[in-house]
Amino acid sequence: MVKEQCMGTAASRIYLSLLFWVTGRAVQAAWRTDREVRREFDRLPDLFSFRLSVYPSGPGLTIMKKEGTVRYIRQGEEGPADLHMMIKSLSHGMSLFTFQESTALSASRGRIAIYGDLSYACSIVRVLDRVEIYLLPRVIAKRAVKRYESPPAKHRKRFMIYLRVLFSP
Amino acid sequence: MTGEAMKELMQEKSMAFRIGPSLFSGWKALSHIPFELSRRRAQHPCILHRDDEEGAYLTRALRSCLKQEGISAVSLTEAMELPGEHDSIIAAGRGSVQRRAKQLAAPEIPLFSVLSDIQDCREAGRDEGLRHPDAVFIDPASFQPCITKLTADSALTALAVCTEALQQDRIHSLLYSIVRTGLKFLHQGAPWDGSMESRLCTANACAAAALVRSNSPPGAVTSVSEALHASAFCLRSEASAALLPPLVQAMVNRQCSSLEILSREIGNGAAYILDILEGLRKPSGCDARQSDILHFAFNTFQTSKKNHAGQILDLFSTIDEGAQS
Repeated sequence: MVKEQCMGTAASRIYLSLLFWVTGRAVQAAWRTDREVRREFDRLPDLFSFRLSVYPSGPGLTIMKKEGTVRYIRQGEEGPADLHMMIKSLSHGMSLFTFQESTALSASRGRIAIYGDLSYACSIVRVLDRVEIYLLPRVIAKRAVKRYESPPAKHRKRFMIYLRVLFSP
Repeated sequence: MTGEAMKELMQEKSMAFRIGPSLFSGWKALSHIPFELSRRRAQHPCILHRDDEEGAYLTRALRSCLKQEGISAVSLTEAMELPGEHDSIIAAGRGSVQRRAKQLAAPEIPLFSVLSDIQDCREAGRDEGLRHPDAVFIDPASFQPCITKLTADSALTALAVCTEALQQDRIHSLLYSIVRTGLKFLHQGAPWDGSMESRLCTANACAAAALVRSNSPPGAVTSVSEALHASAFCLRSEASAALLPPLVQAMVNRQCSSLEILSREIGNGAAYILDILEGLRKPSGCDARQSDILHFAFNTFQTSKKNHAGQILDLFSTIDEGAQS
């Protein structure tokens, strides 16, 4: 049973690492492609950094706004973040990122701890919702976000975002 | 501001309310424990449990959850002494374990409670002058395979506590909202068929009732039930089931204002409470001895006017009228 649990934990870590990598790069790509995402980042100060991670030493992603551009930073290269959203356990992370619960529901159930300014957190959650709408099929995205709003020219932008996730530096 | 206006304002806004522990309930609630431990700088928890099947079941669920986050814990039964090297206590199980943990835990040590659906509605609150736990966790994954009667017993105790709090004519809105939440969970739990939903509703209602108990003195039904339970005449829940209908009737006769507030929200407040009670009678098996219990309670407490004399006499006069009619 313990061995099965360890394997389950390892699989969860791999899944979440992959998902964080895709999401991090997708945020960077969405900032270049989508006007709404760019507007949200414009409201944030320069040198603003955001980190989403799983407690205690699970996978994570860091996004930084520096000199007007938004960059995804790989794990290990980041410093302390201005806004840190910490998912309290791996199993909570799996509920959130297998889209059984939306970000808002997860936060209301106390599964996410937020360190930093709450207004920045609201902006970042809106960005993540927007990115999920681009990344996921409609059926799944509806479960993952609080309110599903189809953006204009969604399919063209989705294609661009996927290209940039895979090939942009 | 005039003196009268100030007096009125003070009456409305002045209050004392004991805020309880953090409450984590629902699926994966136990997964909060490692983070909550770390937030309180604790890394070496000690699990206190009953030396029975329920204790073993809860401890197994707890250990597996802690192991996932790389935390190892010492476990011991309530009769044993605490080891030296621990920085937090996790009490897993019902009444006696929780009381023992509250006695043992130093004020600076975090105390967590892991509860199931079998509670006596004191675990999550301040228990007779003892501290309350820092956090309470109710996770259906840690519930033992179903014993419907015990779940219904716990629900009946919670119903008695919540109903009695409504006797107060000037109930504070914070307390009222917790009472209302407890009653709502009990209503949602029906029918008590041993389904996971009804068990989780009962566990939540009991936790709400424990907070109510911390802020509202026990009334006639709770006092009489506990006395009858102590004299081994009947179970606490059996006594509550027998005494609740006359209590509700007395509240209706007295035009109790808190009950009227409840009625404004949901229609008929008294019928709502009695409806929950009827749903609980069958699974708890509390019907059989109702008249025995009423007579015993009446004979025992008619002359004893030490505690809650007014309320008890009020209650028994209603029972008496009912018996005569």
